[in-house]
This record gives sequence, structure tokens and C-alpha cells, in this order.
Amino acid sequence: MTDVPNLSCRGLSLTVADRTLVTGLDFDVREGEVWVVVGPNGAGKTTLVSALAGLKAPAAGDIRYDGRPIASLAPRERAKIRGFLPQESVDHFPATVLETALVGRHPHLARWQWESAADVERARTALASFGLAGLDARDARTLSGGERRRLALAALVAQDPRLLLLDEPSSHLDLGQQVAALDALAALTQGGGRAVVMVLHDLHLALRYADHAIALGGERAIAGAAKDVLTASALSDVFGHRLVAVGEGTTRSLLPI
Amino acid sequence: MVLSFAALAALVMALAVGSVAIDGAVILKALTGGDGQTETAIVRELRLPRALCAFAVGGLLALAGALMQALLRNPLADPYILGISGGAAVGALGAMLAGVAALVTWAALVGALVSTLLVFVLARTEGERAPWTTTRLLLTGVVVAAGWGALIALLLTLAPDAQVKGMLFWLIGDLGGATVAMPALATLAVALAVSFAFARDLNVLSRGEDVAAALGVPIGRTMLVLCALAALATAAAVTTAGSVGFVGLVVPRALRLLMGNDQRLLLPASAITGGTLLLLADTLARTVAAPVQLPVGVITALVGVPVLLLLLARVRS
Repeated sequence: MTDVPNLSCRGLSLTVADRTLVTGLDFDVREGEVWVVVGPNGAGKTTLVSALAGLKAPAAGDIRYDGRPIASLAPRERAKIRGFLPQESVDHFPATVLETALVGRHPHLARWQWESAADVERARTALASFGLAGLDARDARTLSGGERRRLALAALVAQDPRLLLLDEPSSHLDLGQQVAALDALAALTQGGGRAVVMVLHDLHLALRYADHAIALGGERAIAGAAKDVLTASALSDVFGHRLVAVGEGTTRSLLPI
Repeated sequence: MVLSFAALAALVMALAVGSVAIDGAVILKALTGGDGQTETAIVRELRLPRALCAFAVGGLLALAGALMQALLRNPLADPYILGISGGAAVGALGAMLAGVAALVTWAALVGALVSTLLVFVLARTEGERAPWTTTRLLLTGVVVAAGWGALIALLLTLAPDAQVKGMLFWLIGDLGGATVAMPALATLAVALAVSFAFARDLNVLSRGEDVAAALGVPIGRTMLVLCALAALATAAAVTTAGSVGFVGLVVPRALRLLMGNDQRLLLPASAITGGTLLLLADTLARTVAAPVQLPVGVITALVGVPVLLLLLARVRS
């Protein structure tokens, strides 16, 4: 593969209602990488991933997918490259589980085109990878909160983007499901030129899955390798609360004092 | 995929059954009335145009209702939710009061379009993705419709007694004066074709604006095109038959319960079912109290109210 990053970000500044959240943030997300965004409430994590997805204009800065500025890409072109999982998903009307997962295929289909058997196959595979096999015909609104979250993840994976931007993918999931879902996402970055950027609240999960991280808080942002960003001292500043490191390997975590 | 082909086949069948029913009724009337010149003329010059008008109006209203429900993501939206019928009624009643009967249709059309435009201009905000939010459109539509309601009451009060009955018939919805079906039928064909092109965008929109925007649906443009289309369809229906109620609310809602929310099936199915139902309702309106002809709006409301209540009860349980 080439050396062009999946996502590159230069001089990014974000504001919400005249409040500056981030200024001058630079980072590159390359294939195979898992980036985790951490920070306290209201620090701008959601604003950041929305801006990276091209859904919210940043106050300043240059965002590129595969080296191309996102302003030069039509909404449909962007949707073939990057996928975005919002914090909450809504179901206004009844739809089956399979129909909901197939929605992810939308950007790949021409205006008059219907989903092919290959699209259905892709949706079924995505559903199975999040433990939803066999539920095809169920009304999505009758699913539990955790099942609906996994359904939204499956729809995102069915979209087959090379850059996955996720706002709290582990919300509504129980402990085992959090690990299973994040394992499935991390597995996607093994080959296929894909990369993941996700907001996580749980610092233990962040340490477990991130190879790179962005910490937002106190009107500043740090981005870099996880071992440099997800440290007790750096995150104590970001969260405004003292943290200590405990454990080793998969049980390593940062705990508030 | 197999399912959608089956649904398409069912759709074609529904169309065939609908047209057979139309043919059957027309042929039967022509036969029982003998083969004289006059009866043939009645069928060809009076009943056929009226039947086509009824089908087109029903189809337009049900299609517009399905579009508004999908766009506003509210299953209780109907074609009149943005105040279209009120604007058309004020136009039509104003023309009747001024004594220019020839201009009633045009005045209604202008009123409908003015009302739509007014709602869109008033509801405009600085949105992140689209200049219109569904809540603001709904609220503005309801308020504007209330304003038209007051004007309608004023016009009815001012009108001489002799004109009030005609005005009431127009308000309830009546196909008695409908003779030219082509504009309504052509609008139905165009509206169906255009909305079908946006059907999958509407499916994606039902997953919320965040998801739709992320999947590359241009939300502002889609809403603008389809709202304008629904307004045009409603205006064409209202100018042909007055403000017939309940077809646009009940038909898409009932079909959604029966066949799910895939707009690629729901939109054409709504148009065909709405047309067929209004045709049946109008036939009933013409015959049930003959020689008195009831306004078709009375039938649709009498049937529509219990059906809607039944649907609401079913959804709650």
C-alpha cells in the first residue's frame, strides 16, 4: 500500500457556540491503526469525530482522506471512504434487522439500483460478526439497547469504509459485549487498509485497544502514540483529576483517586 | 431481494385488480343502461373523467401523505400538515365570493403554493445540515394552517347564504365538478417517478439525519425537492376535488403496517391504493344516497376516522 495516510488533519480548530475546544491539532491516521479519543464531558470529542467525518465544519484546519481535501469530495464519495457511528441511533419507522444493516450499502448503489445478493451477503456477515446472526427478520425496534448498538455497528461495517469514525461504540453494551465489539473493530484494521478512530469513555478499554490516542480537555489537545498520550500524568491534566496507573497487559488501567 | 420481487408482483396484481374493478363498474353501467347513444355518452363524458379524477386525486393525496410522513419522520403527518389545504381553500372561497367561478381552480392553486412558500420561508433556520428542521416545519405548518382556518371562517361568514353550500362542498372535498383528469393524472405520474428516484434516500433518512448525512444523503436538497413535490401533488389534488381528508393520512400509515417502511414499495403502493380507495369512495358517494350526491370527503372521513382509530389502537398494543 502507499504511504498516504487514510486521514490527515492539519491545524484543526474546533469551536462550539464561541467556546474554543481545540486549536492547531495535527495528526495522521494510517492504515492498520486504532486511534482512541478520550477526555472529560464537553471537551469536544463528539465535535472532533463529527468534523473528521465532514459532517460539521471545523473553525479552521485542513482535513484530508487519502490525501484529498474533504471539501473536494462529494457527500457520496466521502461515504464510500469513511463511515460514521453517531452516539445515539434512532428508528423513526419500523424496519427489519436486515433492512437496517443494508442501509449501510446506500452510498455504493446507484439511484435506481437495488441491493444485490452480494450486498445482502455483506450485511449478513457484518451482522454475524456482531453476534446478530439469525435475527434478519426481527423488527429492529424490538431489540434491546445493546443489540441495537451492535446493529448500528453492523450497518457501519456493511458500509465497508476504510476509515471508521465511531462516537462511543461501546455505549449500551455490557462488559463482554464491549470487548467482543471492540475486538471485531480492531480485527477490521488487520489488512484491508482500514483504520479506526473512536471515542471511548472507559480508560481501561482505551488502553487495551489504542495504538494511538487523542486526549481533549482544558482547551488543549494532545495527539500521538498511545504510550505517550494515555499516561497517568497527561490524563490527570486533561481530566482535571488525579489518576494512577494500575495492572499490566490486558488488565492495565488508569484509576481516579 | 426475493421479498421485494414478491412485493413488486403483488403491486402489479393490485394494479390489475384495481383496473379490472374500474372497467367492470364502467362496463356494467354502460350495459345495464342499454346501448343507446346517451348512456354511452354518460359513461364516456361524465363517469370516465370523474373516475380518472378520483383515482388521480386519491393517488396524489396518498403519495403526498407518504412523502410528508417520511420527510417529517412523523407517521401522523398528512398532505395538509404544512397548511396547503387552508391556503387553497382561502383562494377558492375568495374566488367564489368574488363571483369569478372560472378562477376558482387557479385561485386554489395559487393559494396552495403561497401557503407552502410561506411555511418554508417562515420555518427557515440556520441549520447545521439543512435549513429546515422537521419540528420547525411542523410547528410553522400548524400555526399557518390555524391562520388560514380563521380566514376560511371569515369568508364563510361574509358569504351570501346561496353560496355557502357550494363553499362547504369544496371544503369537504367533492368530485361533482371534476371533469378534466389529465393535469392531475400527469402530476401523479411525474410525482411518482421523481419521488421513486429519492425512495432509498428516504429509507436512509428514517435512520436519523446523522446516519443519513454520514451515508452521503444531501439532506437539505432532498427535503427541498420532496417537500416541493408533495406540495405540488397536494395542490393538484386540491384544485381538482377540494380538500378531501384522511386518504393522505390513513393510506400510507396502513400500508406501512402491512408491508414495512421500504419507500421503494411504499410510495407506489400508496399512490395505487389511495387512487383505488378514493375511486371506490366516490362511487359510493354518487350512489348511496342517489339522486343526492354526497361530497366524497364525507365518505373518506366517515371511513377514515374509525380506520385511523383502529390503527392507533393497534400500534399502542
